[in-house]
Amino acid sequence: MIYFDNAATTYPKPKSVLSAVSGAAVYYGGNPGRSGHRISLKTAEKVYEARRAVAELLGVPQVENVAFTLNCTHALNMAIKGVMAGGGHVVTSSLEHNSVMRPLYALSKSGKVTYSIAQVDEERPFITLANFEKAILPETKAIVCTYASNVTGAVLPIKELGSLCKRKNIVFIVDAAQAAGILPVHMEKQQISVLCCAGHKSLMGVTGTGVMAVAPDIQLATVLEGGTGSASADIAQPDFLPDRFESGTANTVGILSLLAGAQFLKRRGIEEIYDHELSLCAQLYGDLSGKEGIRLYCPPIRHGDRAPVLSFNIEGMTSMEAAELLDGEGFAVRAGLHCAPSAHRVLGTMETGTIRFSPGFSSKPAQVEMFAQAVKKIAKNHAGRA
Amino acid sequence: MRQLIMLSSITYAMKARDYLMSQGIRAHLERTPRELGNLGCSYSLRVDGNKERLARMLSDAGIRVIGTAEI
Repeated sequence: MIYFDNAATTYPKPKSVLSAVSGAAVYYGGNPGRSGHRISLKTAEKVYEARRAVAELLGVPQVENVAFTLNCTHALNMAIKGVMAGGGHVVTSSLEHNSVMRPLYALSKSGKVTYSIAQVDEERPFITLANFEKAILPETKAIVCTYASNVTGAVLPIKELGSLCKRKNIVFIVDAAQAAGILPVHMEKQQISVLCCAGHKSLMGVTGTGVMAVAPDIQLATVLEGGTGSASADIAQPDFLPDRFESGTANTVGILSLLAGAQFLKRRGIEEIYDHELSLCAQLYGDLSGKEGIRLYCPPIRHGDRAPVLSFNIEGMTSMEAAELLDGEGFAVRAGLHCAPSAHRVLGTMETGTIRFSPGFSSKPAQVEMFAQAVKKIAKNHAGRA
Repeated sequence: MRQLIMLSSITYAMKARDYLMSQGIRAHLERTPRELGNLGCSYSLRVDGNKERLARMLSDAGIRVIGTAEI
C-alpha cells in the first residue's frame, strides 16, 4: 500500500520517532509533575525537554507557553472558547476546517458570539488581507484562521494578518494543523496570539498529540479544569502556564514522540522536506493537468504559496468512488469533504467532495508516477459516465 | 539546613534550575516538603548561598517564585 494521506496523519513516522515511542513506554513510565521520586522526575525532565524543543521549533518565546493537547481540534476549542468567553465578534476565513467552524457555530448558537467570513483569494493574498480587514467590526475580538487549507493547500497571508491584528489590538488565533513542521511557522515573528498545531501531522508525533502555544500577554478562560499536580490545595485552576491548560495526566508517550519529531525536523530541515513534498505535488500536477476526465482544484504549483496537498476529481464519479478504486490499486488517499465543507463550498465540490493527494517525507517520485498512471487509467475506464 | 526556593510547578522549577545553571549556579530539583507547601503540590530548588538573592534573580528573569524556606 502506498500512502498519500499525510495531511490526515503522517505515516510512516521517522524511525527515531518510533524508537522514542517504544522507549517512552519502557523508560519514562512515571507521571510527570506529580511525584518526587526519581521515576516521575526523570519523566518530567523528558517532557520539559520536549516542551523546550517545540517552543524553539515554533518560535514560542517562553517554554511554559507551550501546552500539550490531544490534537489540534482540542487546542482550537480551548483557544477559541478561551478567548471568546466574554462574547464578541470573530472574523474567520472561507476555507476553515470544522475544528474552527464548529466551535464558532456552537458559540454563535449560544448567542454570545457572532462571526463573519472573509473570502480567501488564493492567487492574490493582498485581497484576502483586505477582506479580513473589511470584516473587522468595533466589537471584533479575534481573527481565527487556518495557516493553510487542508483541501486546496492555499496558504493565507499569516504575517500580514498578524500585523493587522496587532494594529487593531485583536487576538490572532492560527490553526497551523497543515503548517507546523512543513511551512515557516514562528509565533513571535508572525505575531500570533494563540498557535494551535497537530502533533501527528508534519510535526511527526503520534496520534493523540497537539500543541497550543499562548503568547505571554494573552489571557484565556479555561474550558477544562482538573488536576495539574500543582497548587493542589487551591480549588481554582492555576493561572500559570502550562498547567492552566494541561489538566489530567499527560500523554507522555505522545509528548516524547513530539520531542523525537522536533529533533528529526531540526536534523532534516523543514525547508528540505517542504521542497521534496511540494515537488511531488508539482510532479502529479504536471502528470494530471489537462488530461481528459481529470479536474484539478488549484493553479500551477508554486513554492511557498501552498501546503503540499493536491485536490482533484475524476469526472463521472464521486471522490469516494474514485478513492475506493485507488485503494484497490494500492494507493491510500482521502476523499470526501475532509471535515472542511467551507472549502468545498468555495470549490463547488459539496456534492462530490475531492480526492486529496498529500505526500510525505518518505514518498518517492516513482510512487507518484505510478499513482498518476492509476488515476489516468481509472479516468479512461470511466470516460463517458460524466 | 536546606535552602529552598519554591516554584509553582515542575515546568517553572526546571526553567529556574536551567536559568541558575546558565548563571553558573547549581540547583537541585525536589518536591516541596509538605509542611512548606500551603498551596499544596509544588516543586523546589535546593540551592547553596543566599536563597533570597537567588529568588530575586529568578523573579527578575520572569520566573515566578512562590517563596523561599530554610529547613
